[in-house]
Amino acid sequence: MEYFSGIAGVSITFAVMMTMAVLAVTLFFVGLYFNFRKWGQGSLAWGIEPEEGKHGIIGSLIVFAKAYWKQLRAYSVHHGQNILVTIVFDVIFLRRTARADPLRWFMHMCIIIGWMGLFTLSGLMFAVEIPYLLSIYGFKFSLSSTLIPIALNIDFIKPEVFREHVQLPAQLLGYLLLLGILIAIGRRLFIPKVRENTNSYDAIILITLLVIVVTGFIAHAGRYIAIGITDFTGYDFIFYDYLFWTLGGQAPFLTYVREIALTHSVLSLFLGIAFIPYSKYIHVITTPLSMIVNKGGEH
Amino acid sequence: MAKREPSLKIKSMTAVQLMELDACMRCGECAEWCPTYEGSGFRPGLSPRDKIYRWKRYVDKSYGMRAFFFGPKDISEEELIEYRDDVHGCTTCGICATVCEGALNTVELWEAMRADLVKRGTGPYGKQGAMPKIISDTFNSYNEPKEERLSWIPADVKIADRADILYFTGCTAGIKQTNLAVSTARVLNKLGIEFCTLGDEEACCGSVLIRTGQYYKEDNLAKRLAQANVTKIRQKGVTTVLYACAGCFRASLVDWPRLLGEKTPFKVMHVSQFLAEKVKAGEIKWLQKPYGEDKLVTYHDSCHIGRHVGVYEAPRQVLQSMPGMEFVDMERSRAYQRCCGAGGGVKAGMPELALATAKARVGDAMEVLYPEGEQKTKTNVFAQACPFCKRNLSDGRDALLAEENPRADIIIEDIVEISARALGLSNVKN
Repeated sequence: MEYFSGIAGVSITFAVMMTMAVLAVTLFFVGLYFNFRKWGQGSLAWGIEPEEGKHGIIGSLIVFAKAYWKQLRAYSVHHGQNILVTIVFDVIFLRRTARADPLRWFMHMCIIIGWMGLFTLSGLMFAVEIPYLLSIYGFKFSLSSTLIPIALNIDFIKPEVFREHVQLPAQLLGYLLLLGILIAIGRRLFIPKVRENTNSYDAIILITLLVIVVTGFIAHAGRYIAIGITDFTGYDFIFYDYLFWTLGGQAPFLTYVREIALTHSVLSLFLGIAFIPYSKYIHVITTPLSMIVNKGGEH
Repeated sequence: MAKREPSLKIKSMTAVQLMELDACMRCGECAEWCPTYEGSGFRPGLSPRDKIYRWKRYVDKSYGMRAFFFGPKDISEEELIEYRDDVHGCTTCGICATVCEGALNTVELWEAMRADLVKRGTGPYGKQGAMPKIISDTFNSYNEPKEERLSWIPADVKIADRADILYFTGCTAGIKQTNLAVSTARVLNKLGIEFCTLGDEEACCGSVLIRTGQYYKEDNLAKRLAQANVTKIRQKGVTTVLYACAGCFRASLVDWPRLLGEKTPFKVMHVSQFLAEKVKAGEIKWLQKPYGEDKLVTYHDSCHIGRHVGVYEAPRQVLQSMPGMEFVDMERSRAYQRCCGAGGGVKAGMPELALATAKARVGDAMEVLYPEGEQKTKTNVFAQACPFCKRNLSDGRDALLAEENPRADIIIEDIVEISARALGLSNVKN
């Protein structure tokens, strides 16, 4: 079975990717569960001790949910900021970071937009690919019998066509992500105070992000080469492909293009998704939760 | 085989607080602003970021995935003792929370960590351990007999038995810094405000117990104190309680409702808020310049009245309304103020650290009261609204003067004491 998100006709089949994706998502949820379980060892509210026997496999999740809800609803002697204001200004636009350090804000926004954007495009590609592949095997989608009373014959978007449509936004997002990561690494390397306070917990997410994005660019270049594009003049924003291609030399690059594409896919799944609950990446979940529950910061 | 117990058992942290430990992005903004981290000469262990990360690792070792499958990993006693020392080197001023990009409620994190260390027998720090017993025995934090609470009252002050307004004196103003209590009572009398007090029935607000993680000791002493005070205030039929002590004010506004599980049945106000209302309503006519001549005055936002509850403008309005007082703000003011260094048990437990922090804060005041290069022609005023801040800032000033820094020659007084001066009242009992 072809896998359009990757390289058509190579050893990365849809079945392989699905297996890896399921494994990565499973690892993600297992890790997330253990985090919630850990947090659920705490008490329900200030001044109360955790109750014996109520913080087990399921109980801890309930304790966390209850404690979160309780704190979210708690009376505030401070500004008691509206939750929507918190979500828009603090969670999405990182107002607190912008106040503290505009450069760090720019870096974070680049990473967030790049990362989330690429994640969304991957999801869209997947959404296009699944029904198409199922249709090949005889599954016909008709919404008429379920949702819409008018017969609707869906003409599936061809994955290879859709893939070309997302090339440009994907490249732009890739650049944005790369820029954010380079700023983050630059800060950690060249600002003495930041460098001195950097530990492996901080470094590992930057290194993994860099590896994902660099292999992504190489894999992307490989896709073009694999489908026979050698003249890059008509393709804006792909000078990096050209760079890799010419620097690396076409022959060796083509030899390993499949392996590189596979590596990128595996790294994206396992470092970009599965690794989240086991590393500092967890802050992409916990920091918004903290902002919301603390009403955007009460002090 | 019996299941191994974690070295650190979580008993005081809420589930949300445990989540917050994982929400720290380690941006380091807290370390940029922390007054005790700076006061310690940037000792790494005192950096708020470092403390959160270390505690997170302890929680992971005790309750993380690895602990679930293979049992908790030991944390050495030495490590926990070192941690205890570091987490007590914090005034719980809350600047780390103000600047935290993840909006972590760090003040409550520190307090919960302290409580967990106390519960396992590692905390509290130094002399702080004596507090619960002292307060339990005497109902004040200075180990003075109950009657001593009345000794501040001058003969000229009229205190009603029952009134709409109650002045909650607090241990420090009632026993140690009596000028503040005397000033408050005389100012209220002068303004024709009938007020009562709890007299020798007043109990410690419990703030020191909560800040040092000992609130549950002596059979939930902090809760019992809050209950006793609220019950007695209710019995007086009071509608508004006034506080001149920022610590008591914060405890009544934030801690008492949490301890008792209900809102207090009266309005809680700092005296500066009360005076600001009167100024706004035109009900205060200042009689004179507080110091007999024009002065430059700056205001220190005490953490417990400022950052912790958000009262910033009222004290400024009062000072700005006085004749002969030209107000100027320090660079670090309001939510971004630098703590004086006294709070959170630091003054009692680590006096050198408290002093170093106070010196830095007096330095902030010197910058605006006596700008570098300008000839010093008069002694200017550094106001605040908390007796602990006054005490520690005065110590900081004295230390700087002892180091032969003439710019540290500053009058340090509470805003209520300054108000008394402006109304032509004496601050001292006799």
